[in-house]
Amino acid sequence: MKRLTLLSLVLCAFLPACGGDGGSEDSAKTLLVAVNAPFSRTPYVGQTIADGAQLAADEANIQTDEGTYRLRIKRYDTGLSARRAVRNVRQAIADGAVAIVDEGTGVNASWRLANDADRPLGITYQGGVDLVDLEQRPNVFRIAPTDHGTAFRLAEYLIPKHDKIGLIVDDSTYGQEGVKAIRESFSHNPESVAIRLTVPSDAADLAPEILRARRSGADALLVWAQPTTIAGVLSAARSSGWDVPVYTPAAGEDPLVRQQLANHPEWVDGLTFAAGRPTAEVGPGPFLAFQRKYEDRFGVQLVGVKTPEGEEVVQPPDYAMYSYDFVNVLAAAIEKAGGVEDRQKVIDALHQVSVQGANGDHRGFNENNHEGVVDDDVYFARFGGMIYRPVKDDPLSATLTPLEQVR
Amino acid sequence: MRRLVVAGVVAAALWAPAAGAAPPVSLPWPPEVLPRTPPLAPETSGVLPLPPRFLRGLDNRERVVVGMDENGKPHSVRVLQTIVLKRLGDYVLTVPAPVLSVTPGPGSESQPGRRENQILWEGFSPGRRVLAAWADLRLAESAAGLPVEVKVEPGAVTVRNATGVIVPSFSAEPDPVSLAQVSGRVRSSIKADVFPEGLNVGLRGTTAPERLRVAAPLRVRGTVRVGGERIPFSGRLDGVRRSELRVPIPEGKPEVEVQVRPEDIRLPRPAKSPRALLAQTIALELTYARKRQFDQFLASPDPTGPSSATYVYRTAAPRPSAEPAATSGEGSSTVGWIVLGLGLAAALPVAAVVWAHS
Repeated sequence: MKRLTLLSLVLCAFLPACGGDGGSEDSAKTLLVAVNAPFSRTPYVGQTIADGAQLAADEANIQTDEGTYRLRIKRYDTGLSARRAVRNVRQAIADGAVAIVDEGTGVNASWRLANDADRPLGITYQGGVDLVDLEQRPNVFRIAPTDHGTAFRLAEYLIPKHDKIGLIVDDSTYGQEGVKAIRESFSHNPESVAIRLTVPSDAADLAPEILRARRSGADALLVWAQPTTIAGVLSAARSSGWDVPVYTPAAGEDPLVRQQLANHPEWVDGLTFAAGRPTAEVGPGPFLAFQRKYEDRFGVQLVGVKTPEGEEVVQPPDYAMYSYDFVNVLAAAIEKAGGVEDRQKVIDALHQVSVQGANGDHRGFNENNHEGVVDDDVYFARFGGMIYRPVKDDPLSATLTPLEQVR
Repeated sequence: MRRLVVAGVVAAALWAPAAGAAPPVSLPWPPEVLPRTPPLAPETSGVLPLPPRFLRGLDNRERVVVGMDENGKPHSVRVLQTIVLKRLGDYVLTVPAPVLSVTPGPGSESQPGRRENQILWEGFSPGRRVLAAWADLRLAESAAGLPVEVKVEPGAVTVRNATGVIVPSFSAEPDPVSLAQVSGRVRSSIKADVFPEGLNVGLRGTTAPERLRVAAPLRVRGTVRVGGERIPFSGRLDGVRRSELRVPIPEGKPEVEVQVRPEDIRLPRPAKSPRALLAQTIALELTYARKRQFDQFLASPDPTGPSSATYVYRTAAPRPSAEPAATSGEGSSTVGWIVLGLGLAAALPVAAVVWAHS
């Protein structure tokens, strides 16, 4: 009888831990955060978004009057299909996700599902001009450089340097979003544009298009396209002996570009891309600390190419910092809202909270702006020997420290 | 014995002046004795998790536009704040303000953000960057910080300097050498338009508490239009010797426009007697501090840096309110009556059935 009583007492002691939504030993409740990204089609992008979110979820310890919350990440593969992306968001809501971290594909339709369910949706990769709209899409936030900001910074950087610029985009969603941004940023200087070309994103050979660009008198190319198209442009230009400077948005730093040109590393030299700065004025310390945590947790992201000195090249987790930051801002908002019972309160709180971002920058949104990366934060980096360094002829980029990219 | 006598004489010599001298005292410290506002400082404005950046090397200009009704009573306050960053670097700046809405101002090279009681700026300055924002403010929390009151009555428009306050001060017999230093520092700081800090003066004897009236000197100019007539006016209202400007007007419906600027402090000739010079120095120090307050209706991210403000008061029809409509008591009670009605409608048949079966 005594044993039975003792057993009952022990069982009773464990009872509270069994209650709640996915409770753990410390009786914290677990909240689900969905990551909706193209894991199968562009694994680098999908993986980096999910890993950044996972790292922040691991660290989250949300304290409210209602108790402690922890975050759990669940991955949903879009395969770069808008239809699948929408289906995923519907499923994530049904699964009880409190928020969606999204690469951006399909957001034009999926935001509405999330909005109807009062779920915030945070884009952490695509910068499309229309994806975020404070008035029309009040639940959509973004921590990633905008196409608008990137295009304006590229125009500001390129126009004084080059007389005639060839603008090349591909027919992917990414490329077509780029067209809108480029059109606006070059609208005040139409004389600077030598030619505008749209190329197929699955073209095997871009030699004819590159020949047209060369004949147009272009002395620089701005290529807003998927990594494979960027590699195709470089390949066609260099193999024809045209040493034209090539500029790209952030897709230029995708490991796929270097992997495709691994047999001709010199063709990558000089490629200049615009991206969100991974370090801030405070120095590289915060990003290096983030990179260390990231690599301890997930290992290094090998690009699969080597420097001329024979060192392995690794990809810094610069895009992972955006999903990391979004989940941290979300956690701060849940804490300010006192939990997730009132979903609208969480969305409102997203306007009022800030965190220190992985690069040391202040990160947050406000009532006037759902963009977490300001346009000023776009920097330029140039490849040399398969690694990139911030350029020295741009005031912002010149203040930044190069990131370590070899092992 | 001789040594003892010498030591005694030396000790007495050292003790004698010390017995007559009181320890140095601070001049009344403006943040302690003057009202806290302006600049406007809503109590609930949030704080950033990171310290603001870019706190030096910037200019702050403000244009405060006050809409007035036909009696001169303010009904709206808008501020155009222009911050010019003059060096290279990251910036994260917040301006506390009872803000209703914020929109980019003319020439702004960045978009202003808005949070509860905050205007937010963030980005990178490539060497020079203009940050300009129009902010619509909540009237109740901003009207009290305005520098003048305008009163429109039949026969006259009166503009009154409203910056005057009575503050605690003291009088005393100061040590002339120490006072000369402090007085010089106050005067040179005012000339250089920088805030003097750490002003301590040696005294001979004790202090006597006093009350002192301090005000920001204002340059006022404007026009009143009545019918076809245009009546210009201008004047300096120091708020102590002259606080009001009265403009006689003919009969009719006047339209008033008043432009007000805090005016630089006029440095008087130093007073001759030490006691009078101390009083003059304290008055100068506090008057300058009060004037600096009205140079920043909204706080500058660099409170000690260059700032200026112009206040424009205009007779104007009230704009549609941007303030979120408060839940009116009438609305709440209407809902309450509807709920009560529905409840009664549902309860009555049930009650009838219960009664019939009882």
